[in-house]
Amino acid sequence: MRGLQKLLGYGDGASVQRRAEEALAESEQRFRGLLDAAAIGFAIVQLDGQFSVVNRSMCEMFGYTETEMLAMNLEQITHPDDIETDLAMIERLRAGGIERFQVEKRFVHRSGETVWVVLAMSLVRDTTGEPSYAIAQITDITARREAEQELAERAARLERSNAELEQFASVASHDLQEPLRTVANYAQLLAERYRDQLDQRAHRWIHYMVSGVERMQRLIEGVLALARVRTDPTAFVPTDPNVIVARNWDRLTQLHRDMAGQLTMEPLPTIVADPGQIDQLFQNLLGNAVKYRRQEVPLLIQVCATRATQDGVPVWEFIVKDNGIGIDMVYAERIFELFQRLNRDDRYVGTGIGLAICQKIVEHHRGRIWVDSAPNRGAAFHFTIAAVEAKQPEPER
Amino acid sequence: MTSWRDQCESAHETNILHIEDNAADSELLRHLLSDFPELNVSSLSDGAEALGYLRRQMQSVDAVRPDLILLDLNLPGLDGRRILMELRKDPLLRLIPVVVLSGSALEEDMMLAYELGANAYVVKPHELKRFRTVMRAICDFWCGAAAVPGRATR
Repeated sequence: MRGLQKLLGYGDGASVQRRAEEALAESEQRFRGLLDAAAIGFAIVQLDGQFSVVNRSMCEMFGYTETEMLAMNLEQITHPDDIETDLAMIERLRAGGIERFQVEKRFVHRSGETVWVVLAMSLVRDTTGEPSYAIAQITDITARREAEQELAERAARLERSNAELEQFASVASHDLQEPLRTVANYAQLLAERYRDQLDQRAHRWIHYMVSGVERMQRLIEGVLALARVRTDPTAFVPTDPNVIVARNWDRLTQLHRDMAGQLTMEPLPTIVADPGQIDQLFQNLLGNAVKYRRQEVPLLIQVCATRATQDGVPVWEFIVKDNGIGIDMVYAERIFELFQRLNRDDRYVGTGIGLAICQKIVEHHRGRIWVDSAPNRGAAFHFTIAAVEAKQPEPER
Repeated sequence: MTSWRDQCESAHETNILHIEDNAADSELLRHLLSDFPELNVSSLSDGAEALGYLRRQMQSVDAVRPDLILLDLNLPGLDGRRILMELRKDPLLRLIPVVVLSGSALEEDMMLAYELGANAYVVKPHELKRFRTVMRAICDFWCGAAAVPGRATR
């Protein structure tokens, strides 16, 4: 009989009550389990800010035990600078003006460390519709905030270093050049004014002084040019390298009228780039091909571009190939470093800055540059530029 | 209004005021201009002093007035840009041609000088021969070809 009663769900008053309590306890336990398993902080907050329920994540987030937390209120763990805005929001919630709000704010961990969170509060009303308490969900975003701050600081540092570079450029162009000019002017004046009184050796020494100064001037100009290669995203536009190569080759043949040379070029793709820098890049690469040509054979330069991938990204690989004196591959990497020159020979006047500028330019275009060469077999300079489909090539100025 | 134009005689030797703090540059320029016997070059090394001198000269009747000012930009104290501004503000001085001689080839320095009212901006050449050519061109033009108030064209 009793079995049947149980089966049908009948029972005496006491057992009904007991079962109800058991069910409630079970539900309570399930709720608690759910609460504590949650990865975000969760709390029930009385309208005066007092916590009446807190979960484990919340306790861990602020370094207090549950008992400690329940004896505290929202204000006590809030960062002093955020208390005012916090109170204003809660006041609006309490007055029933808003149902929920979400803010990014700071709490203070037991250790004194700042904890950045996203706090979402929603109001719960009682059966009569009166505001009763609030549910708070708290997500720890300290790591994200720190990363953001780190990023902002890095940007500020970069800004500062760019400003310093700019200042350096101005100093280099002005203050470093002035005394050099004085030395050059007066050395020449000496040679001119005392032409007949100075012997051949004195004239040679003056010549060394003047060429030393000239070299220093070129170095300063080179360093200046290098310092001025900057990433300017607004300068990136569809750029036609065909025009740039042709223009630079024209200029070089004008400059070296006695040179026997020929440039062949396959049609080059339009790229999205800083046209001024691409011009500088080809100017240096073609200029090097001319400078390091072999005297006994006519110079041949080939320029082409092929599709390739770099780190899984489609790129254009440009090649500028010559039949000049070439370089030993032992130096293949060193030539891109600042002031690295392989030829001390007077025939090859250089500053050791050109290829450093090329590398900086290519890197600003997220590409790579390298050389493939052998002594007396010519050099092939390769560089990559991201292959972005450019629909409307802009006419080159 | 009496300007220095009215007080000048039409045929006098050409006076050039060179404002330059660097003794080497100042001597070099005087040396280069010594090829022109008709030019009377005086140099001042301090900007404030130069302005004071110019203002005094403009007020006295028989004093020497410059027909051309050669101005260095980088002067200690009152620098060249400031002098240029003061010159262009002064009713007695604002018509004197000013050629800026600068060590800087920077576009921004050049633009600023023209904006402040320079008549020409010249980058001091490193090469002596070039320096001589440039100075000759400046003097030929400003003290010869160009008609300026207070001097009859030759």
